[in-house]
Amino acid sequence: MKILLIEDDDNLRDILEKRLKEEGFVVEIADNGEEGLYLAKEFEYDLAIIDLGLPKVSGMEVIQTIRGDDISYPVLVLTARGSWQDKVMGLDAGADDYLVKPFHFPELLARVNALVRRSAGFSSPELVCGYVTLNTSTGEVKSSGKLVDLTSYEYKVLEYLMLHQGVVVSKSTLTEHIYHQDYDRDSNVIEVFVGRLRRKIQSEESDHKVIETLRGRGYRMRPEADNA
Amino acid sequence: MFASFSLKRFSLTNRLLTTATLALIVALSLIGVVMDQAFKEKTMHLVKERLEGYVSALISVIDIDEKGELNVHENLPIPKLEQPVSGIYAQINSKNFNWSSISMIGVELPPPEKLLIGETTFDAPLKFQGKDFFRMTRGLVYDTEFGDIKFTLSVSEDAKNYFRELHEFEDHLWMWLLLTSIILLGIQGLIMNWSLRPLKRLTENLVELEKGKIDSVSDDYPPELAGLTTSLNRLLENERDNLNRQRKTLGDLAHSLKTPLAIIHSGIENSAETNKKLIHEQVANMNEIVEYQLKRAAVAGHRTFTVGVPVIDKLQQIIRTLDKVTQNKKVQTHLQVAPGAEFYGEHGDLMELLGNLLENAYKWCDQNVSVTIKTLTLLNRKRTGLIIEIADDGPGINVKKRNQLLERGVRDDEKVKGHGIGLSIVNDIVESYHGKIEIKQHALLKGAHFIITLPP
Repeated sequence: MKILLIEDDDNLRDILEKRLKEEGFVVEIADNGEEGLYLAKEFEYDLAIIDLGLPKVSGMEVIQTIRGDDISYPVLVLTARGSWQDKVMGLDAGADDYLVKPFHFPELLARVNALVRRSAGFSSPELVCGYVTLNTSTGEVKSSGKLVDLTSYEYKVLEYLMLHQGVVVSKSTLTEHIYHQDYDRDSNVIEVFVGRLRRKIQSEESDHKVIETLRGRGYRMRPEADNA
Repeated sequence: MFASFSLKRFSLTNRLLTTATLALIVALSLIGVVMDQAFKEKTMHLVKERLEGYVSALISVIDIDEKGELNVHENLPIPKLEQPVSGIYAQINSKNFNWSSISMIGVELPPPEKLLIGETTFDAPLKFQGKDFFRMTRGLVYDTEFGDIKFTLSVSEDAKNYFRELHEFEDHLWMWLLLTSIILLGIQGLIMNWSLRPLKRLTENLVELEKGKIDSVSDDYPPELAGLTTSLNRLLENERDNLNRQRKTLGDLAHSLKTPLAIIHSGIENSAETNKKLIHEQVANMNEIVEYQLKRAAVAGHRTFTVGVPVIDKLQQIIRTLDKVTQNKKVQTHLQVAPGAEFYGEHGDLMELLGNLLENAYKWCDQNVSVTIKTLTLLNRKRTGLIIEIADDGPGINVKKRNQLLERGVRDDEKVKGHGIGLSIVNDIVESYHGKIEIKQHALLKGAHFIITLPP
């Protein structure tokens, strides 16, 4: 999951960046509205966390501009004042949820997960694809009801693919959303990960492979095999 | 240097006095001039009529003697013509006849001008040797066997009496007008003093207010000022309330921060691990305290002068926001808002009020939230109040907890957990608008039912 974090308070930004990375997110940061807006428009994210009180360009304007540009990934607003006026304005501008400072990190994490899930069309924390289920709040993955033990990168790959079911996800997109910028992007590594992941989640009761490979294009997750 | 003179700062008394005096002077002068003119015209008319009478009377005593000459009878119809220097003088002149009345003995008058037959002139006045006369002259002809005899008949009247009467009249007229002016101005002054007295009293009231001798302006003012004094009193009350609330907020903040600080302080000797937990807890506690008190301080409270905020707009904004953040729950909201319902106050307060109550309703409800807003009208108040009812179909609040939630003056470190600081803020806002809040169980939805009454 790739998150854009726009926050001008250095301490808060550093802590959030560190904690989000620990949770396995790819985090890109900006300390002002102008830079944030540039990143928001240039790159693709799964979610943006935007502080309302930003220098140069206000958080409200950032949200309005990106929504005006038909950028639809979820936006979580951070507000210091927490007045209803701020909340209403933020949400009306196009944000999807708000969090009043100061907040506990688990609260932020829960909101982030919920928003990402919601934007993929899932209302409960449990993602389902055929016989594979992934619970985003507990981190448990089951195949035909049996618990599967995954490494954190495998988990991230699976979560990303499950949130984008039916969509062809290229190796480079996967790399971008799963690994940090400084990571060596060797596509073979992804192939190895996906191969291992496939073996781990393969149900013993079914022949259907939930992750299919489309040669030269990437991967696609599908709950059932095509009849054709 | 000239002292700048601004008409704007001209006192009300002076404004009224100046304009009243000017109006009076203009009006009375006009009356004086018109009356003087009317008197002059009338008396002149009388003089003319009188002289015309004399002329007609004299014509009747003129005849022609056997020589064909003009002759004036011995017995004149006007006694004054036979008294010397009586002030009425008659002259008859023709080519070879010059007659003047006995009264003219010792009096010199210029010979009358020759006039054509039937022509009449009236000199008003005729000046001669420093004296004024009114003179009527008429050209006449006698048709005799000797032929036509043309002559001029003239009657003069000394204008001395006329001018004396006129001057007497004018003296009286102006004296009375002056007297009237003085009386009218006096009355004007009394009226002004009487009608401006409430203003003077108000000024004195304000001075006392400033000195702190009284805390509100008395309410026995005439209707023109009552609006002002009522508004002033309300403004003062608001200010006092605001000040009290700010003071209370500050006091509460300081007091409530003391407890966690004391706990941290007393735990200094604890082990590092216990301390970490303790400090963590207390910092969270302090955070909440600060957040609550900051929000409380932001409550604007009842305002005397404010435009109405349409309730439906704010309500819909908040519902839109809550619907967006609680998409998973699919809450059904049932709105019933009186058309044109307006909130007279800071719109931020309305949003906090509705926002906090609705947030709780969304949190606790099973599926349904109902919002009913009615207007409240009181006699002799132009603004309307509001009755806001918010209910949900959740578990509701038990009776014991209801009272706890509504208890006033519960410091935040003692406040009921679970409903967050939202309800405490709502309580503060309602209090600051002199309203009341009730918690019941909703008859239909069976969940919590908040009823908030905000008076106009």
